Amino acid sequence: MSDARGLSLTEILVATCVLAVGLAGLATGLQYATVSVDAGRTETAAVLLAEERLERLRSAGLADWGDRLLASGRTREEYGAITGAAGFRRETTVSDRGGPDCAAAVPTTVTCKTVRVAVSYRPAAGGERRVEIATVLAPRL
Amino acid sequence: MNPRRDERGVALILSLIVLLTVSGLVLAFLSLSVLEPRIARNLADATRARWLAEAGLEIGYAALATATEADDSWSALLAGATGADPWVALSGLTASALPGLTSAEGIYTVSIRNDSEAGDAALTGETAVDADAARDANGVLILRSTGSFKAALRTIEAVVKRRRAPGRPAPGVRALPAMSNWRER
Repeated sequence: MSDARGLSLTEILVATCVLAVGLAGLATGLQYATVSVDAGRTETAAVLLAEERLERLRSAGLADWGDRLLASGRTREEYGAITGAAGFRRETTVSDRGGPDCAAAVPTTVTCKTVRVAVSYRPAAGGERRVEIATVLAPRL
Repeated sequence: MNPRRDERGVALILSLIVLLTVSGLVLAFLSLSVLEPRIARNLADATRARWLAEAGLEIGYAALATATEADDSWSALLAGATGADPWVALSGLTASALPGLTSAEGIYTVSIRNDSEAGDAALTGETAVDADAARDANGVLILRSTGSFKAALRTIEAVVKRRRAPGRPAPGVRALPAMSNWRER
């Protein structure tokens, strides 16, 4: 073949095969990386949502220790209930504590309240994960 | 000889160059992405530790508020404090777990010191500071709480002041403590 313009068919086939196999491998890597980044993003969001709730309860307690938000019990915010964060659900548990070191459960006089906020979400990898933060609030005298 | 014969094999080389460039980019993304979950986990642990420290501060405040002393001072709690080591742990609040939780879910430690260090006036906002680390004359203390969860450690300090409510008679009536000037260390 004296007039070899362009590329031969075999050449194109080999190059396409190499490219296809390579890109398939890279796509797997890319997917893995995306899942990782997403996992980090959602966990950070969950932490911030838990903190948001704790800050709200603390500020309510500082303004009025008898605030309804601080009543002993469990509050559930299901998936879709939190504005701007539909992919998360949040569970707040407030319990009354007594005694000088807040250790006594079911006290006659409430000296502190323990607050636990658990935020759950469904990561792309499947299942449900949760982030939990706990703290104690005491009334200002 | 036809110079175009040299183009043989160029498709393979070009595809390899493209593959190499793209795999470089993907590899960089991959190596960055494995850090993301670790960063998020660190943030979660540090946040947990900070709220443990906050809890310690609240419990320490409650302990100071309920400490009954005839002369309206906290000197009894400061027993053992020296100029070299002014920090005194509040009893029962060393490496404690939150009420109702286990130590695996984090611990906190609360200690106090008198406002007897150099530069404390700037911190407390008082004109007069105490001279003796073990004797509280002005009703001002510095409360420190450290929360720890896994590898994360967070320390917060706050100033607690005992003030008589205006119009209340002096002796016999317990003064009300207030907490201010938080700072995270």
